[in-house]
Amino acid sequence: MKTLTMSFLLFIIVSTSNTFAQYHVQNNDSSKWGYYLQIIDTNYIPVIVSVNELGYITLHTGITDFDAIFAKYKITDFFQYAPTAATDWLRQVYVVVCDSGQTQLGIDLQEKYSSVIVRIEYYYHNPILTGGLINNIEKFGQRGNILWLGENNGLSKTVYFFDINGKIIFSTRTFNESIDPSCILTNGFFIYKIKVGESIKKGLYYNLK
Amino acid sequence: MKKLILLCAILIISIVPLYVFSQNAHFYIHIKDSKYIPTVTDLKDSSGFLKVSSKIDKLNMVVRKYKFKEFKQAFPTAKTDWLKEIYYVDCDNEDFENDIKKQFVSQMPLIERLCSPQTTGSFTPNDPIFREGKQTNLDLIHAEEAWDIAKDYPKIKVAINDNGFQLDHEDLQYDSIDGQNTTNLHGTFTAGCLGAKIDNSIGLASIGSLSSQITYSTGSKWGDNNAILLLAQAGYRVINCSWFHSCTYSSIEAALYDEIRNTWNCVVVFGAGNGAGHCNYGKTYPPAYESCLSVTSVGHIYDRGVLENGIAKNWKDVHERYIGDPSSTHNHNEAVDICAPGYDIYSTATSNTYFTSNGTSFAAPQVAGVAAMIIAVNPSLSSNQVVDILKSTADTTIYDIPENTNYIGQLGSGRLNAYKAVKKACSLDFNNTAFVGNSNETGCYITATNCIIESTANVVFDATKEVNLQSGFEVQLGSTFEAK
Repeated sequence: MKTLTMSFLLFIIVSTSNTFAQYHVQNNDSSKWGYYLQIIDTNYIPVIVSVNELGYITLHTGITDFDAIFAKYKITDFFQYAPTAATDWLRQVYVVVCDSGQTQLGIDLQEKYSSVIVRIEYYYHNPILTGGLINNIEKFGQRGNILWLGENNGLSKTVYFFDINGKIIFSTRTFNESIDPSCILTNGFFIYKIKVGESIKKGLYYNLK
Repeated sequence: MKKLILLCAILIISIVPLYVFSQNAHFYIHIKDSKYIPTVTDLKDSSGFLKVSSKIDKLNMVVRKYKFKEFKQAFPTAKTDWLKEIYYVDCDNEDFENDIKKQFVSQMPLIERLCSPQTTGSFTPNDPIFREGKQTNLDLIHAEEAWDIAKDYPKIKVAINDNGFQLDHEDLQYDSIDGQNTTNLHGTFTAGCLGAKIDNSIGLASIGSLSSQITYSTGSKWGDNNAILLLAQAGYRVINCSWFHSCTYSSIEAALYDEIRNTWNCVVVFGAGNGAGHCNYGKTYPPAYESCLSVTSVGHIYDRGVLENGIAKNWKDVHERYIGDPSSTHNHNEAVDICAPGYDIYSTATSNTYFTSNGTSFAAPQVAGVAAMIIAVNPSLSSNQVVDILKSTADTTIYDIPENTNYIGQLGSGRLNAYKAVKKACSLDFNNTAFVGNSNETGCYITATNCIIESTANVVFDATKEVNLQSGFEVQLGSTFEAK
C-alpha cells in the first residue's frame, strides 16, 4: 500500500510538472523578468564583473552602497535596453534581469537612488503567443468525465492511457477537442499522454464513472 | 479655324480598361452545325470548371483537353440568325483556338480570340484552397479587389516576428531570416496568413503575398521589443507580431513604439489577445500601446442565422465565435484599433500541411498584409497615414449587428476592408481644382470634379486603373491634358 501511495504521489508530481513545463515552454523557453531602469548619471551604470556557477552576475560601479543593493539579489543579466534608439532618454534605459520574486530590488532602488534612477518599471520578456495553436490551458485536462485535448486545429491527437505503474491500458486517435474515456476505463487514476504532432502532454485522469 | 484647332488643347482621354489578371483565353465561336454544340452541365466542380462533352468523338477528345469556365450561347436573343449560333467560351488554354481551326473549320467556320475579356475588376488566384471557397476570411475583407490594384506595384519590406518557421514549406515565401530559426507551428501558421505564395496553384492564398518581401525575425529576436526597433531602423515598413508580454503598461515600451512608428515610419501590428487567458479580454502590451495596431477577431464563414450542425458559430462580422457565448471571444477593449477574421482561419502548417485555427495571431497578419499593400501602392504615405487609412476604411457596420451590441467601441474602428483601404491609398480625388503649369498626377484611380486645366498648363493623369472625369471638368485653350 505504501509503495502504491508513493508511486501515486510520484506520478502526480511528474505528470503535473510535465504539464506545466510543456505549457511554459510553448510560450517561451527564455522568459525573463526584472526592471527597466532609466539611469541619468553615467557613474551609476554598473558593469558585469563576474558570473557565478549558477549564472548569477555581480554588478559593479565602484559606489559601495549602490553596488551593495544589487549584491543582495539574484541577478542574471544587465544590459542597455535600446542602444540604437533615436529618443535620447530611451538610450538611458537599462534592464536588470532577476529571478522572479526579487520585487524588493525595485523598491530599494526607488527609495535610495530616485535622483539618478528616474524611472523604474517592471520588465517582462515572456512573449505569449496569441494563436490558438497553443492548446489553451482551459481546453486541456479533465472536466467531469470529459478529457479535453485542446484546440480542434485539424491535427489528429493520439491519446494513451496508462495505469499508475506505467502499463498502457489503451490508446485512441481523434481529431476532436475532447473524448470521454470513462466507459472504457475502470474506476481510479490513470496517466494520460496526448500526442499532437511533435508535442506531448501528460496528465492525470480520474475516472469516477 | 485651323489655327484655332492647333491652339486647342490636346485632349487625349483614354479611360484605361479594367485589367483582368487571368491566364484564361476567351473566344467567340460560330458553331454552324448544331450537332457540334457540346453538352455543358450547369454545375461547376469545386475548382469552378464546367463539365463539357460531345457525342462526336473527335470533338469530345478536343473539349476534354481543356478546362472551361464558360461555354454558352453569346447572344441567345439576337434576331440575326447566325449571331444566335455564336458561343462565348472561357477556357484555360489558348491552344483551343488552333484545335478548332485545324479540325472543325467546316462546322465552326469562325473562332475569334477576345482581346478584352470580361472585366471583373478582381484578381482571382488559382490557389486550390482559395478556389475551394475555404478562405472566406479573404472574401469578407474584399481581398480580390484589393489584389487587383496591388498587383501592379512593387513589393515592400515586411517582417514577421514569431517563434519559428518551416522554411521549406511548399507554399511559403521569404526573402531573409533575422535570427536563428527553429521550425515551429505558430510562426509557420502566422506567416501563411500574411504571405503564403499566391496564384501558384499550391495551397492557399494570402492577403499580403503580392506586396510583401518578407523577412522572418525569430530565435532570440522573437518577442524582443528592441529587435522590432532594429527592424524598423533597417527600413521595414510593416512588422507583424502575434504575441504579447504582459497586462501591464510601461512608459518605456510605449516610448519605444512611439519612436518605431513616428521616427522610423514603421507600422507594427499585434494580435490583441485571445480572451480570458490573455489579460481577461482586456489590454495586452505591447498591443495596447498608442503606436501599436491592436487587432481582434470577428467571424467570417456564415451569414447571421445560419447554423453549423445545429450550432451558431463563426457568423460574419460577429465578435463571438460561438454566438451567445461571451467567453468565446478574443480580446475586446478600447485599445483595439481594428478587427479582422480570426476564427477558423486556414493557413500553412508544419510538414507542408494546411488547416484551420483561431487566434488574433491570425487576424493580425491580415491587417499587416493590407498595410503592406497600402504602402506598396503609395510608398510616400507615413505610417500614421497608413493606420488612418486602415481605420477610416474599416467597415463600421459591425456595430449595427445585434450580436455585437455588448462590444460597441471595443472592436476598434470596424472590420478590415482591404479593397477600400488599398483603393484609398492610391486614389487621387481632385475637387474644385485649377491646374496651372506642369503636373503629372499618378495613382490607381484618378477622379476630377469641377476642375479646370488652365491655358498654360500641361497636365497628365496617369492611372493604373481608371481616370474618371466628372462634371465640371474643363480643358482650356492653349493647355495640354492627357489621361492614360
